[in-house]
Amino acid sequence: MQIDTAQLTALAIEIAKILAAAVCILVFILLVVLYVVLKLRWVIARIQSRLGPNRTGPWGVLQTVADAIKLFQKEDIIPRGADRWLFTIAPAIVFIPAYVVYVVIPFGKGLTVRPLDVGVVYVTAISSISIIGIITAGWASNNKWSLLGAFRAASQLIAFEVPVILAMCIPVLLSGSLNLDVIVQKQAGSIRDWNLFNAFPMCQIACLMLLIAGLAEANTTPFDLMEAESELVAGFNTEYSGMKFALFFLAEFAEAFTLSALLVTLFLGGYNPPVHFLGGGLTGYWFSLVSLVWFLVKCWLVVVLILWIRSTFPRVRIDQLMNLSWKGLVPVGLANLLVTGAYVGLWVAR
Amino acid sequence: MLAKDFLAVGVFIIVGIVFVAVTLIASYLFRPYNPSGEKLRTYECGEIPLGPAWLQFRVGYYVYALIFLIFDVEAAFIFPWAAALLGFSRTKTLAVLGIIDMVIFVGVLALGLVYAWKKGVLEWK
Amino acid sequence: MAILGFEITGYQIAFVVLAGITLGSAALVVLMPNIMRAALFLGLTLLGVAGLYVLMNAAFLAAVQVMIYVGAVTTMIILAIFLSHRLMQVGFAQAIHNPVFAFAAAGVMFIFLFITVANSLWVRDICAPGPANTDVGVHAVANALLQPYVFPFELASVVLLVALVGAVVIAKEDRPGEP
Repeated sequence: MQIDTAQLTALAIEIAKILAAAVCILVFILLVVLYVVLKLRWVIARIQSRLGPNRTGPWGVLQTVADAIKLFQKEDIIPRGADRWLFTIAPAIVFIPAYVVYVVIPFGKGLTVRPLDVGVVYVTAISSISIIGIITAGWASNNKWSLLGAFRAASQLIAFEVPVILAMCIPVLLSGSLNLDVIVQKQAGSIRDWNLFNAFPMCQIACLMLLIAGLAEANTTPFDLMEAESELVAGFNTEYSGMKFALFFLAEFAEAFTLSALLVTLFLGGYNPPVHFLGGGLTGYWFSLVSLVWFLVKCWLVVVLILWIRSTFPRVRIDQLMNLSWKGLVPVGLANLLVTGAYVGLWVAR
Repeated sequence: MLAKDFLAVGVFIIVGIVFVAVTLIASYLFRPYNPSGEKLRTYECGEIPLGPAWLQFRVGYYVYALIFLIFDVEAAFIFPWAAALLGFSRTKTLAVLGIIDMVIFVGVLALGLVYAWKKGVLEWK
Repeated sequence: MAILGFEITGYQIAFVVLAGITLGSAALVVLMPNIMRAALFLGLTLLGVAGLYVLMNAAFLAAVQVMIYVGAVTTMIILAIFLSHRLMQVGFAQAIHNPVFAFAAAGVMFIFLFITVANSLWVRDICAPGPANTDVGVHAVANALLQPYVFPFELASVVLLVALVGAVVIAKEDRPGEP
């Protein structure tokens, strides 16, 4: 038997490429979270007529870096009676899925790690694993607040996963593919080709549904019932401190960015420029670069929108939240799905 | 669709595990460690915790999970339908067939949702 | 790559790793004295099965496996654990109260599964490159659902309806006074 060195080398090179991409995305997520948290504090401060962080570094840009360093050297407290192993593993179960989702996110033309054919299902499937981590954290803490928070979190996350799925099906119907890259390519051209300005009113309803349900999935105000400082102390991560808390925090903001990336990819034309002369005519590496910039600009706008919503709306009650999903978004989403199906089958396909 | 595409998923999972392990171990080297009885007590607004933390939950939570499971299974059917309908509707007959199939499928489930609604199960108490 | 005279491919290594994860965590599900940990290992087992589906080029099935079994069923099982006060005792031992029945049930299950596996039409050499990779993509699944299997597809919705009605009936036995 002889060793097929050529094949082995090819495999090694492929793994090395993926590894490089994986590390790049990890660093990207860390930087995005540092920035988004800072931006959140600036936006909320401006809206509340405060100054916000402005002391650490120029204009306060090093504030979140300082916070991260502080968290890094904080004592790690595991409460008495807690399940030490599960207490330690729970942050990993929450963070790793939030990170692995980024495999299919199309950052730019040819800048997807792997454009999987099952992209949309992959995103919903992987991100649903986090629920288990949250319940584990609540259970392992041996704390009533944690457990109550974990239960609320589980109910909220599972309630809003159905509307997310139903909303994501609308762009899938229109482009005839679950592959996120294909969905983006179908929106190429100008702003009029984006799904947001397509198939009135089904796509607009779906976009709004994805925004609302996604906010609930990402646990941001007005749907931050898992934390609900005034009711549940801090929810499922009450007993967490130091780096383990930082991992939950990281996962939460990574999920918020995933939401904005999904909104951009599915409805706002993905990495395509809004008008042709702003980069649409480029080819090759130049278009990859320009499309990456457009993707990031659009994501930034959606992130600012999310932060704006976060700082202006009051928190909803848990019964209102559950009604919003099961009695509001789910029936609307099902009806929307059928109407869009009829539109696609009888109009678009003709 | 080749299984090889999922190599990336495997690599990402491993990188994620390594990242979590490295940060936790690195912070273990830097952080202080001096536990005390007060510090290790579970937090209950400053009171001394009473009774076990593992409360008995009511069945309502479980029912929401069951309904979610049912809709998740439904989604497993909706996803391929949504992806294929555009290509499937080559002729008007096929398009109508594809749409009617899903109308019946969703209609039956909507019936279940209406039943649960009328019985008051979707009421958060 | 050849090890001890056997030709080893990347697929085989992946298969051994995933099968190891699946079987190892399945064994731990049964052996764990702590039911919460057992439930988490159940999630890992189901994740390993999804990995095996990926190796069979059934990516859609793998994604659905993760979505339904890991995301929904495991969550539901954990919530069910919390409903029962007795199960939450940490030292809960998974005792076998009637070994004869237990082994008989396991044996019947094993024979049933063995017959099914032995009689299945397995695509040989699915890992071999080239046209042997059959199309088991999303579109193939959808076309099968909409044409030859349209009746089972509609029947599935009735099964789901029955499950939903069952869930509602369980919920009606709610006892007041619990958080």
